[in-house]
Amino acid sequence: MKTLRASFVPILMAFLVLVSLRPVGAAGALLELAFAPTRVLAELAAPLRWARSSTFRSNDAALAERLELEGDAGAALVFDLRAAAEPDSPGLRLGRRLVPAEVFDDRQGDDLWAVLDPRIGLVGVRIGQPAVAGEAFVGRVAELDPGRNRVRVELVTGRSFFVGGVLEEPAEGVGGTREPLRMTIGGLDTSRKQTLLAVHNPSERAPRPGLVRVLEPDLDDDPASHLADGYLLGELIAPETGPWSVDPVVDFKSGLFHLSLLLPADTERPRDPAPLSTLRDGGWLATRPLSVGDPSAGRRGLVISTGSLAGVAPGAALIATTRFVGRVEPGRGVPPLQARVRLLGEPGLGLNVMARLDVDGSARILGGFTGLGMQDGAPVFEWDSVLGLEGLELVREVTATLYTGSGRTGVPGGLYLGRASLPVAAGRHVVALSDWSDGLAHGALWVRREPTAPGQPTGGGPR
Amino acid sequence: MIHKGRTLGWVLLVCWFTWIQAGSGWLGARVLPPAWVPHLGVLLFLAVAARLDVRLMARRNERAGYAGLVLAAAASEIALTVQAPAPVLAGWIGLLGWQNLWRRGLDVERPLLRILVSGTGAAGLLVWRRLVLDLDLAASAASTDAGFLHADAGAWRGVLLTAALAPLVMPLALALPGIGLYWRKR
Repeated sequence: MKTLRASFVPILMAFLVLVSLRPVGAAGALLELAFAPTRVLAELAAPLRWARSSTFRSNDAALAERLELEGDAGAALVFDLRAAAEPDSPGLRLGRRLVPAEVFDDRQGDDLWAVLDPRIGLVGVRIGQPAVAGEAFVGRVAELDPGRNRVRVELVTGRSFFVGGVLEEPAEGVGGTREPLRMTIGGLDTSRKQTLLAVHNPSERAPRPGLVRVLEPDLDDDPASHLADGYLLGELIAPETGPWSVDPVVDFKSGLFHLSLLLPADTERPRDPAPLSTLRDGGWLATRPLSVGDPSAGRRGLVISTGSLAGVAPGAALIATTRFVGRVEPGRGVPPLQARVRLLGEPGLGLNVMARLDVDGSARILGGFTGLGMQDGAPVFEWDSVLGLEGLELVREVTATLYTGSGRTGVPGGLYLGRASLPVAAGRHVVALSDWSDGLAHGALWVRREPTAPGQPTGGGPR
Repeated sequence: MIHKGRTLGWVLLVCWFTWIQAGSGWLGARVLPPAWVPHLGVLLFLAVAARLDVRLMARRNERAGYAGLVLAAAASEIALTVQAPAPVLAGWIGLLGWQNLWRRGLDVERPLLRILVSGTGAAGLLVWRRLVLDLDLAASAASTDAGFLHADAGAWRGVLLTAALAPLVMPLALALPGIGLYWRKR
């Protein structure tokens, strides 16, 4: 018996260390389930919450006064970015029907899932139809999921993806004797550090600069095959020696929030209605804090009173009336009766972010932010700015209001984050939030019920 | 009747752990800079573990023992933290093993040893949790090469404070109402 006990502890310890360092989904979920009854213990912290109830009330009331203002501002930003996912050029709209789709999952690899308006669904959408972001070609529809109103888009960065392209010649070349430089584009150029699209089989090897646009070859009678012709792939990088590549005009890693699917103009599909405000879509569950702070040094976590039994899933956003304050731990299962939330200021908190710039009022996609913790009382993020803030090269920094972007499971776009000063140049930057809301200072909280389709009514909401 | 009293003792121990953990969280969120918050849960845990009379409990056919103590400490923290259960549980088991190593040849209730054991134990817990967090950060592809450190970068101050408070807080912890039923008297 003693031997059994003596060997059990090291085995248990080795198991726990292994699960801690290399999380295994099933083992983690089992442990979460085993400790689910600790929900009762969390209630013991109630006296500390009661002591702060007046602070909670005044903070909640202050946010309630800004409900319309901040909620509408976030919705307007989403609307602007949705509009920006459609091309300005009439030539790129001609003969095509543009259907808006919102990216909504934590992307792994070279595919992404995009959801269409649930009020219309996938009517008229077919596999193979192109997906674009503004004037940029990004991929094609590869799978339909009508039950959840979503499509899987295979991106042009995919290893097995190919699209025909042609170099856009400078004006003086038009009408000349030169044959158009055609090529095939698809996958990533693995010889470079930066994200560049690989070029295959150029029709000639004489390098010349310029922009590459889609021009599909006439291989079949599929009407969808030429819908993307004319959309931009990027700038050709053609060194004298070595492989050619295309520098894309979009940030494929974390800069795709809204897409437009290109359908033939004669497609029978009702007109897509204006998007619902995230705060009005009914996808929120009222909840309350169980803890008053994380006992672990350096962590900014919160335990809330709603768990997977109520429909809370990993990654779900947590808001205080209007403002994003945290995200349910995305990497592991949610306990049935409570949920662990990574608050703003928690190291490792990952968000996609968009902004409304003060300088010109423009809506910008900033891409992925990763939490570095707290510094001087403010949450600090690392921002990998792939493209920089284009058109603002004369200044070094601009101020902006930040909102959540699409593309992270359970986090809808348009939720107010805070204010920040943003460096204009591309590169890795550290950004500190100001005028943000601390999830530990609010009693009225709402958690996203189900990270499925944005806009799909599933419950209540703060509005 | 005696059995009910012992059960109540364990229940109260869990309550005290929970309140101390909640209090630590509250201190870090509202009162002190997070780096300065002492790990009071570690002090209660080590104080009780040093007095836990395992032989007496075995004679009484009580099965909780060290496992009960670890579960009480881990459950109270898991109830209030964003951390996953596995690293929390592993941390408390490791802390118990650390003190028991010292306990083999030394009286760990001497003030200086309390300072030493609780200080090194709290530092070990901090390093362990930092390791788990860093691996998590690596998985989420965050880089820390921008010259910024995580929020627990100065948490050694909290460790020092934990060690400094040990000779004062640990005897007080043992005097908390209702939790003295299992501990041997000195």
